[in-house]
Amino acid sequence: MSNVQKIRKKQLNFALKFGIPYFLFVIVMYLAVYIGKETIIKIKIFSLPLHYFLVAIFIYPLTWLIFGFYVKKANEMEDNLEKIEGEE
Amino acid sequence: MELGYQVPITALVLIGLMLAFTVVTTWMFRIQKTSADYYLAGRKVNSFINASAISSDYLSAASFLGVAGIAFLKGFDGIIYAFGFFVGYVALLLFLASPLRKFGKYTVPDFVSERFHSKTARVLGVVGVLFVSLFYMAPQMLGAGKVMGLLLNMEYKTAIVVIAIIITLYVSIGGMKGTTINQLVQFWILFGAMFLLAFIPFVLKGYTYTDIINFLHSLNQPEPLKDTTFVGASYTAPGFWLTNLKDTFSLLLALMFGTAGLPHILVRFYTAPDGKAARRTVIYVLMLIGLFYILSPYVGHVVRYVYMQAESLNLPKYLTYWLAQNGKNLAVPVAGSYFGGQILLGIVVAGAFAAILSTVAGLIIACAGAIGHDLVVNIFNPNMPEKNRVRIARLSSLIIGLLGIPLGFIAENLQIAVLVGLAFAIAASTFFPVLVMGVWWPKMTKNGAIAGLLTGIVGSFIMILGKSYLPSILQFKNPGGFVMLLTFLNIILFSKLELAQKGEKALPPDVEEIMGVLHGPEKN
Repeated sequence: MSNVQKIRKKQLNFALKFGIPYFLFVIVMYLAVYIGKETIIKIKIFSLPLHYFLVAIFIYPLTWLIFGFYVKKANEMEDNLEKIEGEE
Repeated sequence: MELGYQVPITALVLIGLMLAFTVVTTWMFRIQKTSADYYLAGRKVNSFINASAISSDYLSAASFLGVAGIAFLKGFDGIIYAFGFFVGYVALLLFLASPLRKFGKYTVPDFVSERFHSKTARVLGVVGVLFVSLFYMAPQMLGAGKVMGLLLNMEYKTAIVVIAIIITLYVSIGGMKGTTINQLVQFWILFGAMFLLAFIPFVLKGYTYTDIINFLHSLNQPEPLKDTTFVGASYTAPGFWLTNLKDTFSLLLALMFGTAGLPHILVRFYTAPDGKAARRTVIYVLMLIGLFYILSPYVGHVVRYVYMQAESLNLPKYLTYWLAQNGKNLAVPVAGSYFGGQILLGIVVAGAFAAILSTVAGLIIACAGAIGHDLVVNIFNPNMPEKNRVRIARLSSLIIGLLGIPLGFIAENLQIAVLVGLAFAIAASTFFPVLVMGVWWPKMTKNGAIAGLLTGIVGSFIMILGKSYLPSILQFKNPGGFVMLLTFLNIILFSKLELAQKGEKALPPDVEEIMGVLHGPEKN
């Protein structure tokens, strides 16, 4: 396998490692709010109904944290690309 | 104009200042030496400025007025728009922002054409860009005519002509550089307006989200000036408007992946200095629009709270009437007027004006790139000198901008929800899958790309315009997510078929080199 393909696979795996769990979480969470609404509307977090907490508030700081970290790591990986290129 | 309403002086002052700033920046950036200067601001836009400009590009009148408006109207279910729009940027960050910038071209059709060496793919890309952008522009012009006309006391057609001429002039003269600086200022005006609309009730009045929701949840009473009954328990629970899971899921996918496929947003990543800056830009965008989308559904709920107690909270009659008649578009101006009088209303009107200007400007640049760069230069005259390319870019912007006028006139009689649905469905099902597969799958072939583009465009039209002829299982609130899956499948199927027929010859000869550009270290 060429270096370019190695780099591409490494980057793709890295993006999927963040992307698959995140999108699964987001979609499942959103649909779970609808499927389990009878239960969910009764649960409160910080006195806010759980469905509002998850969909209107929590998703935003969660995303900032996860993807702030992702950008830091992805850009570090970018800095190391030349090393990977020279490996063979 | 309803009794009691006066055009706020603050609005006129702020809009006047914004226009004066626009004239200055347009004059400063009037000289564009190359088409990269014109379309991409010389690829030197700093991440934070770019993020503000992208946020401004993205937060259209539909977002500025509509996200709070839909929350006012539909309660919890309305928040799906804020949620879906926001999450879409994660897909952009993970799969497209950095590779697209590293590819270093001008437009989205540029990518499909040069990745697969196909003029057909370029033409289909141009068709997709024009459909998405013009369908998206129509509601902006409708908003310009209806809402700005109402708030600035102008006739529908006059408001459209005035706004279209202002935007067309500054985009065609100032290009991407002038547009970016103006979008930066416009973003902070519209963000500042939304911030004040949330700050005053939350901090000064003590209306917490929890109190508002609990109060609304307990209500069961007639709506002011309407024949309907407001049932708070339904309004604050999931399923009030999105009544079945299939529709909820399809709408969520279309909003998420439609965002990641909007050409006027994608093209902005070419303006970043490098791939790392493109990533940083997206994280700033996530922060800016995330804050905006936390605030606007809250504002929508606050306006509902005030509306349901119109008499006891002394909501003026004409504002109650506005909410009863057109709460979806007027919830935000009503909040401005109620919480901050003429001053805050003026800031809100200026914010709505800024939202329309910035989004239409972005759409004009994306369409001008598709026509000027992709069609005129790359298809008809690839040897055109650089000086003439800039002229063509300006002329294309002028034509597209002025096209906004008739588009605005006919938008009044069109089904706007259908147009917006088509814009998001085509963006989600055409550009997102074709770009993602083109960037990450080296075995994708020219036939796979063409099949993907055709599936997205034709599939979206069939599923939206022919909805009533389809079996109920194939009828969606927005079919973007479903067609997107079909596009992914067709890309794989047609690429595999071509590979089986032609072997390695089916792949572009420079695929390894292109993958190196997209994923390897940047050569400065």
